[in-house]
Amino acid sequence: MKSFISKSFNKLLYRPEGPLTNKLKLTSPGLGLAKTNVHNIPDATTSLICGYCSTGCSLNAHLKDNKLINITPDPDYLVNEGMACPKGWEAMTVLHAKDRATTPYFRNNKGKLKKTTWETAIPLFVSNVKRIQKQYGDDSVAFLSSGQIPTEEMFFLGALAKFGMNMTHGDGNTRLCMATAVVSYKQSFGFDAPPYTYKDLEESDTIILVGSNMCVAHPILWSRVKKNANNPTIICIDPRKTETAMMATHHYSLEPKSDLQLFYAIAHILITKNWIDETFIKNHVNEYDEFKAFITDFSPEEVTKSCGLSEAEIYTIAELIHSGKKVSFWWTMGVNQSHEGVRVAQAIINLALITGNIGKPGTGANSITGQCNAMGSRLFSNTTNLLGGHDFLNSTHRKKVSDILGIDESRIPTENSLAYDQIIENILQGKIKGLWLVATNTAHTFINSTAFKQVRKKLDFLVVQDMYHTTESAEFADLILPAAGWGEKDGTFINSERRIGLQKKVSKAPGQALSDFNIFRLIAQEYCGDDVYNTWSTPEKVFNIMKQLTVGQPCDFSGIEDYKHIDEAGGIQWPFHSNSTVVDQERRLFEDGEFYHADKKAKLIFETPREVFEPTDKNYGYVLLTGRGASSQFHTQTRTNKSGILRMLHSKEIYVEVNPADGKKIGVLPNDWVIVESRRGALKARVDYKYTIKKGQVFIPMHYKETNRLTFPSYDKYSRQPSYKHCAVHLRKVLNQDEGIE
Amino acid sequence: MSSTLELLNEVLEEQHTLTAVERFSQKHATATSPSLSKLYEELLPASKPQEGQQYAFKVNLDNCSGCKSCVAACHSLNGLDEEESFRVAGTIHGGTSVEPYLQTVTSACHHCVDPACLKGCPTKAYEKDPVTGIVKHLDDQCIGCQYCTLMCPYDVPKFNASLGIVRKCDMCTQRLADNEAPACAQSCPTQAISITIVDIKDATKKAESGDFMAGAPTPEITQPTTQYLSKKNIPTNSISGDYYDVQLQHAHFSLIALLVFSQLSVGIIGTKVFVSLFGTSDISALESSILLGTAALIGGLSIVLSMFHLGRPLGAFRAILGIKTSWMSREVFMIGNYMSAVVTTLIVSVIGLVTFDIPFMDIIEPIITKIPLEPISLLMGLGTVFSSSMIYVATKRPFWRASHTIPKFFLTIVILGTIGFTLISIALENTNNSYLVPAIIAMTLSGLLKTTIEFSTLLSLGDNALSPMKRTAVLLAGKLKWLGVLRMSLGLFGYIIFPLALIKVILDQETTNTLLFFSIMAFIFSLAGEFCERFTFFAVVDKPRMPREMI
Repeated sequence: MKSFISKSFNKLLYRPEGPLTNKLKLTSPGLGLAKTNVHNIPDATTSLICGYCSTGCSLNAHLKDNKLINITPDPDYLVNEGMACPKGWEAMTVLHAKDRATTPYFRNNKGKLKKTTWETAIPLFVSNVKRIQKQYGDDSVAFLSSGQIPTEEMFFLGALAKFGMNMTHGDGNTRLCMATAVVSYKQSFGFDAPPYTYKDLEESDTIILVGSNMCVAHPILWSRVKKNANNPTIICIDPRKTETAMMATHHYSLEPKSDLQLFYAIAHILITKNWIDETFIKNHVNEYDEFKAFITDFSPEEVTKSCGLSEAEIYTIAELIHSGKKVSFWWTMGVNQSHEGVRVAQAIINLALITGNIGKPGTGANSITGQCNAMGSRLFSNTTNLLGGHDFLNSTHRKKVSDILGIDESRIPTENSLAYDQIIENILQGKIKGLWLVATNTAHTFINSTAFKQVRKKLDFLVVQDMYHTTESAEFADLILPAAGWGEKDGTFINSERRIGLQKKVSKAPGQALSDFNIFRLIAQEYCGDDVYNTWSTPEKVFNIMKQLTVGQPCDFSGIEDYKHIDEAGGIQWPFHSNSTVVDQERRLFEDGEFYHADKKAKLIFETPREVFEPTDKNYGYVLLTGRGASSQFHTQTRTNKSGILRMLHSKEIYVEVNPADGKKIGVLPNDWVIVESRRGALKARVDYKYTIKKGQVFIPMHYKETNRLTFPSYDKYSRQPSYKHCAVHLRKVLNQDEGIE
Repeated sequence: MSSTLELLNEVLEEQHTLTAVERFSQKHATATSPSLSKLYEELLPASKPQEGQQYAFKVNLDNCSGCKSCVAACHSLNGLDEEESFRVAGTIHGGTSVEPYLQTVTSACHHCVDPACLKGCPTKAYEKDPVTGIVKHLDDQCIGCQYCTLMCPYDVPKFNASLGIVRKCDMCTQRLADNEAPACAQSCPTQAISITIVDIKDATKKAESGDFMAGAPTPEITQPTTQYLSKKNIPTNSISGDYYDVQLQHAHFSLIALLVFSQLSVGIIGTKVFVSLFGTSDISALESSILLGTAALIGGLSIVLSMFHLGRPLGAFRAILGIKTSWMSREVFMIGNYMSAVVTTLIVSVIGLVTFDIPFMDIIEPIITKIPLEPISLLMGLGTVFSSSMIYVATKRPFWRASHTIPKFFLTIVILGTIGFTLISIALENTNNSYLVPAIIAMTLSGLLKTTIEFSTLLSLGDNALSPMKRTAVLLAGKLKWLGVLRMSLGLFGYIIFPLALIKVILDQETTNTLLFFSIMAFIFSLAGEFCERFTFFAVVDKPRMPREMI
């Protein structure tokens, strides 16, 4: 009896186990997975490619009774080998956000956005487009799409808009991130062909990163660098001491936008010292003599004056390139988003070509893409290129496309689209009256974003097709079409190393939201009636048409059988033509030294550097750099800010990194509010004292909607890509705490 | 339109049909072990810790590129609630313009040699595993008092409001048991996190020498075991990303009420004891009972209000289990004793009032009257208040140091006790008592002393570095300036103007109503003043924690 009482008493007092403990009980679910919470055990998994960046990691969707319950990185995919960045880990959370658009919305007479049905929205869309086209001409309606949707959807949109709805102009947000790489590759190699495979990161002995904060922007690629067994020399060229610069063996903090001169100076040293691969140049490279003559003006003695590096430092870089046996060059937005980005990218390509660092393991002049399907967009968005990397101006190409699609050749425009900035400009001039935004957030991303309000006023009809009805752009829309998101539809992505990977529908879209593919089907039906589009009933059918279009192109992937083939192979890189049998999983281009120009040679392209458009002056004394904030933030944060975990991983408020010496000069202390203003707009941000930013420069992450109020609308003249990473700003202390900015 | 409608029905149906599992082959349907196990084998120690050793996290900073996947993976693989992860990642930065330094710092529980959470826990909801050294939280034992969140110098245990308990990292004990790497370690793309075995003596030695991690709180209090390694020279000026964020802390309203009311209650008893010992006039039996009754009521109220602080108040009875190490258990124990003593005293006092016969009273009465019930109550009360103050002193936060906290709490006893006592006396029209004026003077002097202590914190504004005390001072002079002004005004009226006026009207022998008015005003103002101070006590304390991002 006594022991019973003491037992009961103990039981009451001590509860080592119970319902709360059970909440965190783990068990092995099998399926090759790590231990998992007992309340979240999947009965099946299937893998799909992540929908954020271009790395193209594979994720395992955990399914229970056909419901998506969790996502973990796929251990069997070569790209990421069981790893993911926080965005991948949290990919499911953002699908369940409260502000998902679950029905269409239209703006009523009172100017309010109201819910409506597809039965109303589709005719509304089509009748408005037709009305505007009738009044102002077919080309008065344009579309802007995205590198975030599968290739099949881009294909459908581009083909429908241009061949079915008679539009001439359309572009994608890929213009804002990849256009420079596209043009530079096209001109240098003869085709938009990033030559590398990620394996090169592991095989190099010298890795040169230009304008790339890989640790934060492409963490999984950085993990490939860490797998490199050669103890590689890692050279980071970036004005800021970024996370990547910290991890590199060498960091060169050049003056912003002095990179073109720097690379010419490096070429100067390599050529003067004869540290070049003469045989490779002779057999595979054009314009070498002209280049050699050109760079005589770019001696290190000369360039050191402007690039912020000493002669010795420039020599060291050249020596490291020379001493490396397998040298690879990698660049990202620091190069692409520049007023002369194409020439900078080509200056990098030139270095690889003259040293013969291309087509061999661990080499290459390699552009790392931004968005998950920028590479798909580059080939199939039907904007800059005709479908499949073809040319609108080439009648043979038009004929080929019309034959394969089964449409009349006359439906294919014989002129090129306007570029993104030109479409915006044409809206401001009143020439374009209708705009269709698909999976992009122009009101946030476009350079000098304050002007977007003006753009909206000029538009007769603005349609926003998005997962969320709350994006900055959706708030301006006349019509919102609710889209299914990543994981809620099928399709393919192409990653930075040209790997075609599969996206699968593993979760039901909320409410009435439809995949972009299905939305295009509805619009095609309503706009075109009985037409070729009726046969495009599934993404996989469209994929088959895409395959045929690539035959004869460098990007030929007609050897891929179907989606299942891609899934089982673990992604397939292009080229993969119909007689390919063995799937070599990590292939690079140009191993035979043959490029895509008619004479099979690559071309050295160069040009005298140009001044930046908005240098600093007395009134605007600081250079504003923009870029990635944290690995948990993506672009306009349309998705990433829907996850509580991702929000925990970065600063909540907009901040500006200022060198402490400048901070003192301005009279601001850390954490003070400061007004940052340019000639175009102003914002209020918290001061972050950092030695990682040089004196005279400030840095603001691009993810905050205010940032692009400041940026200067200058563009690379070849790629029309905006130069987000250089403009002149002024900083002043906020005197009154409540001082606002509008 | 009809064909569009047909198509619409078709696509809506298609959108809600999931076929991925059937269409594509299942790669691991029959797998028995986790596919990643090969990869993380080297992240786990080959053997169990020996005597005098324990497991510890090892973080190779030179491998940590700042992706923070560890935080997301901990959340995902453990099935935690939204915005809940047992790992945090922040940055430290410093150096010079020529050689800047920037580093991400990931941290979870440090599984300390001498865990403060465990020591502070009133319910023994923490245990340190004798073999592995892992500091484990027993979720079902926890009552959600959150004292561990104050005790931990690294801000590791986190209150989960929807569950009403605290949860924290257990180094994925369940994974380690089957040779699986903890979630953070197996998810790190660059293998920066691993599990290692440390000699406890070495961990202690390292902690005592102050060697832990730049930008992190001192290791001396709890001796954390996490090993941060780097071949780089971490600049001595490196600071956490949130170093300059000076944030108000959560003010625990039920704790404020507990402290103020319990101290008021003890104060009434204390004043009564003092008057009985040194006073020249007697307190009537009725007045005595009313005073005791008021003290008992307010004491009871303080306990009831404190319950609102608990995430799981039904388990409150467990709060005494930690009495060997936890000041919170001791407070609970003391306040229980105090209440029993006061209630007993009250009963005895009430018995003295009744006119009818109580059986056996003639036997009991001589015994009872020999017991000094009131002094015993007072001792218990003082013990309670001392335990209350030690709860905060034990956290080792500078603003809560003993030299400030103990005087503050004890002066509250004097201030509220004297004025409370005075108010009751006057309300009972007992206005001619000689002890009223000395009591009021004692109150005024205590009030002045207490406000001096409170505002002396502002002296830390002169510190060069942003020390914990300077942060507190910055909040006092900045965000909470309004409260300081309010507190000052309340003090001016509550401790000086109304009490002096009260003395004057007492000496002038004004009507009871006039006296009552001034005593009520003095009481209300000083009570409000104490509430302000106690709010500040929680709101402006600096909370030490591991490196974070800028706000």
